[in-house]
Amino acid sequence: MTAASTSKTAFQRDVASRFGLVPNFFSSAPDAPEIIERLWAFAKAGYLDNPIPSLFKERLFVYLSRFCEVRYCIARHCAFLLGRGHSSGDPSVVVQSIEQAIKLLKTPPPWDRDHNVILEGLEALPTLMEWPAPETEGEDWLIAAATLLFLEPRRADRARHALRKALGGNRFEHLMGLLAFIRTAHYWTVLHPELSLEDDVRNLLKVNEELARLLLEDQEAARCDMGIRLFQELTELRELNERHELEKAKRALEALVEQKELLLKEVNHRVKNSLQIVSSILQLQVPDTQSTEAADALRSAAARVLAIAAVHERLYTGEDARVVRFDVFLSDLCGEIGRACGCADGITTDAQRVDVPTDMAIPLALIVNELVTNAVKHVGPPCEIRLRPEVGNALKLTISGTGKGPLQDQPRLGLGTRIVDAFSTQLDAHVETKRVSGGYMIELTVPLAPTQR
Amino acid sequence: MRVLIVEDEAIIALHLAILVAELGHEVCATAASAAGAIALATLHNPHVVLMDVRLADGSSGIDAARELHEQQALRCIFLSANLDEPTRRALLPYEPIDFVGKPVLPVVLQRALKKAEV
Repeated sequence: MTAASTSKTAFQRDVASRFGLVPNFFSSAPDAPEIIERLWAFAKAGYLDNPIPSLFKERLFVYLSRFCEVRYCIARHCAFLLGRGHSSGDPSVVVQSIEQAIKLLKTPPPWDRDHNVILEGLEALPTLMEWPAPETEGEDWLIAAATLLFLEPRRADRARHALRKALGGNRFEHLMGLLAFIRTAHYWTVLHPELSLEDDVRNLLKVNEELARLLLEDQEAARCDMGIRLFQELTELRELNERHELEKAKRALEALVEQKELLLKEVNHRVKNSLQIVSSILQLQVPDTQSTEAADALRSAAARVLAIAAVHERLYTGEDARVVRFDVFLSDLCGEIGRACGCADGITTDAQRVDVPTDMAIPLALIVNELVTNAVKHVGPPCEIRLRPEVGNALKLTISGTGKGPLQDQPRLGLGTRIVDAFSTQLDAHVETKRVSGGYMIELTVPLAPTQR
Repeated sequence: MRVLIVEDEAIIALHLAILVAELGHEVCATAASAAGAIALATLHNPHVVLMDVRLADGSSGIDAARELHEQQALRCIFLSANLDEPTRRALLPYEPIDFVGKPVLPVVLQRALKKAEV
């Protein structure tokens, strides 16, 4: 401790005579006390001797100090307001209650309110405004407009003009003087991070938890630095922009998916139509053919194309494009074979639901077409076709009947056998043909690969 | 029954005509476009229309079906290689008799024509 701090200098006595105490602020920069003395002169001009009413000055000082990251000013001036020392160096000022201080500190900043209404209110005043009493609408408007101007003077033209219009030039300039000093005080505390709170302020905060929280944990504290607020707004703008970009990319992707679906639909449509034409041509040729053998061969070819076509008819009709409902397909195919062979009532189907991977469906359809056609045509009707899912992801198709015809293909229909053999090998399927009492039974077992092929 | 076939692909139309005849019905006319369908339906007064959804000149079987339903209370069996849900929904107001997917299995067509007779 220096001698200066134990026995007060003339300067400190001067300060104490105004505030009732010596704030640490005026003991800072001990290496150059002349600077502090000049600052004290500015304090008197802009703040203490400024003809604005003392309580208004102090309440404005407290409110604007919310926006300074260093908490010294807000705590010190709040303490003045609450009777620890004199508000604006004026011992006649009525001491404010804790509740009044808290209410002031909780007043939302103008950017969180509709400040246009406030500025319109100031602009529309018919006569010049007197300095308002505390906790009136007039005070609220002036503090809000002053806050806008204080934090961003270059962007607050409207607030500046509204204040000048409402207060008149003379009072307006006094207010500017006060703002300039508050700004200076804030800046000084930022430049002197070693500034500590006085004991009377510490005690005040110790016994008033809510006040302490408001003073020390204010969300608006960082706003003192205008750059920070601007930076924050820019960040928000940038994030908005990114959201727009993201939204745009999402829309483009959706359009692409839609386009692909349309393309798939179109290709699918054309394949089905083309298969219909091939099948139609084969059918149309049958009546033109003289030999029964050629007509039979054409009908078989047409039936095989139709079996493929029938699978295609089922493709992409369900919700899962990777599988085909084989049971639905089977009923249609067997119905068609019965119709083509002229014994529609001779075939019955009993099918439980089996989903077959799309790429297995056509080979399977051709095997079934050969087996069922052969059974109906050569062994003879009636016959029953059963489809069941098998444990271990497989299907079992059973063709059974009472027909007495030859079970094996006749040599001239050898293609049917070759088709069954070839596709059975491809699908790892197993065909077993046997005579049973009173008829025959053909069993086809096909392992179904996992659907995620 | 007198059947009007509306199908823009000539080979398919020809094949359908033979199939319909084989199934015991009379093909009164074959049209390839929506306009043709409406004109021929007025002329021949068919019992039922076999209507492809996609027609010649970029015209639509849906539009043709609407006009036929509104003007002549005619109902259709719809044929298409793409009978997805939106298409089926769009056709519902015109009281479709049945939907037959392409490629057409004769047995499925037979079933649809039986429904028309009821």
